[in-house]
Amino acid sequence: MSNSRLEQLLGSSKRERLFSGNSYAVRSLKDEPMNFVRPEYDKLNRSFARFAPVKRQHLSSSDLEWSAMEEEIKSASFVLNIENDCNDDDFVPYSDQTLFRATGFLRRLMIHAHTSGLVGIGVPQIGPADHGSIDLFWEKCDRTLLINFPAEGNLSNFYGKKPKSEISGRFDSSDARAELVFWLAD
Amino acid sequence: MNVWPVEEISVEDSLFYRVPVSWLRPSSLKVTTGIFRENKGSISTDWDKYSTAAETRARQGGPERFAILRMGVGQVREIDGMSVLHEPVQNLEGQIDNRAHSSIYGLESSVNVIPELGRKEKIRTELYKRFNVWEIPPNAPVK
Repeated sequence: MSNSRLEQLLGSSKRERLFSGNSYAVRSLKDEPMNFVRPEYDKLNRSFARFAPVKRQHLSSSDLEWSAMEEEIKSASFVLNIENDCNDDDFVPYSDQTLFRATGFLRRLMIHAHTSGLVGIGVPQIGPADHGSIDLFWEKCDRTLLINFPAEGNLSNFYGKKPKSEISGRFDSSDARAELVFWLAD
Repeated sequence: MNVWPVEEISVEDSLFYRVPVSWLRPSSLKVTTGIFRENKGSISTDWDKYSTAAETRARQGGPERFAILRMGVGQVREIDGMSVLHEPVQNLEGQIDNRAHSSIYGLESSVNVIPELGRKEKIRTELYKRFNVWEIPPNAPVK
């Protein structure tokens, strides 16, 4: 196993598991020594191996994008604490199911992008919208994409705009929606 | 008896939109697409002819709980399907009199019309692009 591969595994555990389910099957160090130093012996003649510390910098672009997405997901949990403190007649509380649908879709979309070799689709802003629904909103350079996840059901509406291209419609958010990845990346 | 007439709002005028701070991400407090939403069938605002931003912020009590967005009437009306109407509130039970009250219609599709999928998302995107700077930011001191 190469150094960079091990660094990658250490740096992005969750996604690696999602990719293959068996990414931690590390082969014998004897076969491919890494930062392995020959066995040493302590004062009692017990052998031990010493590894050089693995550096965690040099993360790939996809690792960085994935980390940024996880940060965004983490910080979006504030929506679960929003209360109707302004007498909004149309207020519907935000549920963890709705947030989970939105963030689950986002993770699938990002995995789909990265496995397709597309890095840089960007991390959307996750935020509360009307009737207990949740928005994913990409705003990058010349394009925007807004996907709304309603409080009930899997059907999400979306609208995207970039120069010479506009898309809108509705889809089942339990799918990954590959065309949105390509639309964002193109 | 109502003495405040309904007036035509000029495209040169502005509306003040009161946004609860609780809708905003505490770490950034930025305008988002999700703040544009209807309550009782329209987006409720105040016309700047009869209200200041500070008055709009304080109208419901607890002004510190709100931020204010200024929305140009002309910019709202240029969005397909959106309209602005002056609707002064006077002598209505349970409501505070408000000569500035004005409504923005068109965000939600009418129930009689086949909904255009993604229409609301399009309008919210358009509103966000036009109005994404606070007139009175969240957590601004109350004067």
